[in-house]
Amino acid sequence: MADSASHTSDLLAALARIYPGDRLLTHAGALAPYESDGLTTYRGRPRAVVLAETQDEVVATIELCHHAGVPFMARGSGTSLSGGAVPVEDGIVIALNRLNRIIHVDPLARVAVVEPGVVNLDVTAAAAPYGLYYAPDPSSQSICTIGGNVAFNSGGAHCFRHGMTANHVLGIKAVLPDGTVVQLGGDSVEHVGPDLPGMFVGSEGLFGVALEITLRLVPRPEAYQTMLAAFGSLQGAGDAVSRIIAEGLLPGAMEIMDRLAIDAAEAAVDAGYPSGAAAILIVELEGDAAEVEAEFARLMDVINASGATAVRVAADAADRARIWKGRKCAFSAVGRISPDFIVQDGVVPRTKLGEALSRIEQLSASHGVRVANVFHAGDGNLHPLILFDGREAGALERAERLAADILRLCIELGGSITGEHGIGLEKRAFLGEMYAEEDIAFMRRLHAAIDPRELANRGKMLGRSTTAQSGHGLHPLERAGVISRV
Amino acid sequence: MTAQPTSVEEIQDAVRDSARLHVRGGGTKSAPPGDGIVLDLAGLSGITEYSPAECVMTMRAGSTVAEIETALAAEGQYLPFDPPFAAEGATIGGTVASGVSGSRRYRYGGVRDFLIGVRVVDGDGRLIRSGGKVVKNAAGFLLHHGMVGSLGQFGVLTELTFKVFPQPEARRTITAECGSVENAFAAAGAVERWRRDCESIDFDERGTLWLGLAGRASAIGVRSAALAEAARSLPSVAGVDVHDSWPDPRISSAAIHDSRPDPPAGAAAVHDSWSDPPGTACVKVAGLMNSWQNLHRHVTAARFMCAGSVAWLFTDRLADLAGALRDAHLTGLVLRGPRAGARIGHLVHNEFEERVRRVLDPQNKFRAAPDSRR
Repeated sequence: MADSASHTSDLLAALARIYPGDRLLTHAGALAPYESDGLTTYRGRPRAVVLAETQDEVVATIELCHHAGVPFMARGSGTSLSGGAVPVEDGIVIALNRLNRIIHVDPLARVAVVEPGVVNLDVTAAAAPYGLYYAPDPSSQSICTIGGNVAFNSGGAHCFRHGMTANHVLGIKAVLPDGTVVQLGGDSVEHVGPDLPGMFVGSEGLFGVALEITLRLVPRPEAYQTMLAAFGSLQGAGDAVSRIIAEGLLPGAMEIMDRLAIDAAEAAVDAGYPSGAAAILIVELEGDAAEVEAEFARLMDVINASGATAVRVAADAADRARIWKGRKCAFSAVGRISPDFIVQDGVVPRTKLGEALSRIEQLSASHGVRVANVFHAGDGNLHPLILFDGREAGALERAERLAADILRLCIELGGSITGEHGIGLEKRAFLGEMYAEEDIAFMRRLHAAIDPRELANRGKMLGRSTTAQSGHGLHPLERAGVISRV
Repeated sequence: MTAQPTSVEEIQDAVRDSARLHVRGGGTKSAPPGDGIVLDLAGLSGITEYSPAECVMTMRAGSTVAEIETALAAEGQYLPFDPPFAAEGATIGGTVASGVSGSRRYRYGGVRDFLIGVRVVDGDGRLIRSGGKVVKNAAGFLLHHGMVGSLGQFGVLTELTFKVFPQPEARRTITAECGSVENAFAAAGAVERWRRDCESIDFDERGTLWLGLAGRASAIGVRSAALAEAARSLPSVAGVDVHDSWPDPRISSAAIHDSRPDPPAGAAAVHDSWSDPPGTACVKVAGLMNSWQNLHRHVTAARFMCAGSVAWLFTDRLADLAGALRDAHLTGLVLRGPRAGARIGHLVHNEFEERVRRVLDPQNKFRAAPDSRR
């Protein structure tokens, strides 16, 4: 549209009054690194990237985009595995890596107030001197940012006991897509009124941008006890997990890797995993030392009764780190055994893990595509790593068909199409298979009320609405008097 | 006029057919008073799905907390957010709508940390689902989070799905007399610095401190002895005792003083039934320790939880307390008594909340009467 081009050049001129040249990127070469995210199959060429250094710059940028009707997207480290951080074509990318102050850490109140560009692991580093840490630990935590964690309700390996990002966010100062700044929640674990920060989490950028986030810090337990057990079958490992839960244990983490994933991890980092195992189970207990000792005795009884072929117990912190190393690098490790791969993310009820894995094995055979399995056994969150060689004709398509079938399997078994990676671009088509029309319709109404012109991360999660405002004429909700433009 | 629906369809019809409604659960945390129809959900009860192996339970919103806890205990599980007023007939729907957890929420989290899915009837009578039945789910907007603490403004909760945990084998309560709120707060801070895995850390306005421990029976003795020993070493702490089966320091106006070693006669007279005397309000406030000096004169009794970060204040001078809260930039939620359901103190219009509310209730059927909102 002719209008659109002139809006954009006016916008760029206005942005140039806010940002110096080195923080307003418009040339193709400078834009290229921002074109995709962790899901490299999608690309988008933005019109410009701004490198924001203050919250005021972010608000001003969004106000300008809103005035011009140009879509925008905030971006942290771009590690999204669902296409959530792929730029909107011809839109503005607001890069937040420089909006990275840890504003303060209050060890008495056990909170940290941070800007969105702060790296996840850096929050824990800042809390460490007080014996505290930030619990949500996605595998990418040394790179991913809190802003991204908030947008996708990131998880990690400790979700069954500790919850997800939404359970650790106490307050959010956010800018809505029309430039309105709102304060949601505060700095306490109990809110008065609705859990609005919890509701902002997981909105995948559609509700605007979080400018300042108040995070809950938790105390490091007195003791950890980590062990690794090898099994002759995935079924065996899965059954052990069920028995652990039935025993009333509440481990901090329970992770399973299959043979392919084990081989890849060993080749990459030499974690010392038992060779020849069909599956390994990592279980970590945490708590007061006396409690962990008592629980560990129960855990070992369960493991020994479940047919483990080898057991390794961490003797110290270094051992513990070694056990985790292989698991934490599993995704990148498979790069050694396959030129390309898709990281899938789905959830099945824990009691259906065995069935899910056996069906995935069948699907893998029938599609002729290899799958390595890594998963958070404690909460049923699967990460099938679908291996293929992009140079082979049709290989990507076959891999994507298998990925889709695995998602449908998750829905069929009563789970979810995403445990932690979110919908992004990748899974928009499946949201309607998981939720009923009425549920999706509500999400669209809510989306329209917060962002009637669909400027914030346009196209993600819900796809384009058919009734989105073009910027001309009244939105149906405006006509109904439900919303109005400022 | 009161309607007592026993099905979701009846609720949808009532919502569509009425101009104004408000929902009632067990009446233990009275909702903002309203005009229009009262939807009494006591008849929409029952557990619909429960898998102990999954640690997931789904129930209708009018189910009582008591019936849920009984069913969970039979399988060795429990609700870690410690919902209050169970003995007085609180419903799980009301617990979610008020967003109130008990003092044992200290260990693993509050109601919002365990609610993983909801079904809601909105202001146009539509049935909407958010979340699901698995503990890990990142699909779609987190409406179920927004329903926690929504006080009926976002529609009618009809069904809830919770993550549940294995029940601890044993509990101990360590009590101590610190002599004052300030001393008890300092002692609570010390306990937190020791990073013991306490289930609860509570104190009251006279400086009585309760530390709750929970876990394996074979370890609880060692842990409680060690914690008691450490507590004895603190200045201004006296009378440290370890109790085997101490009554739950549950939060109800009856229990608040029952948990003390020797409830004073005067206090018992004020709080000896769950029906507080007229004029007594119970207000939940978070983050008030720095302002206690300015608040305490308006408070007759107080229960501080989570080492002081959350407090339940009993007052018969609600307006004065509201003013003091406002001056201290604190917000309170009136849980019981006059103006129950009202938010008091420092109030700021929240544009995001208002937009969410208008989507879920475009015709203002659930909107609280103006004087309840301020």
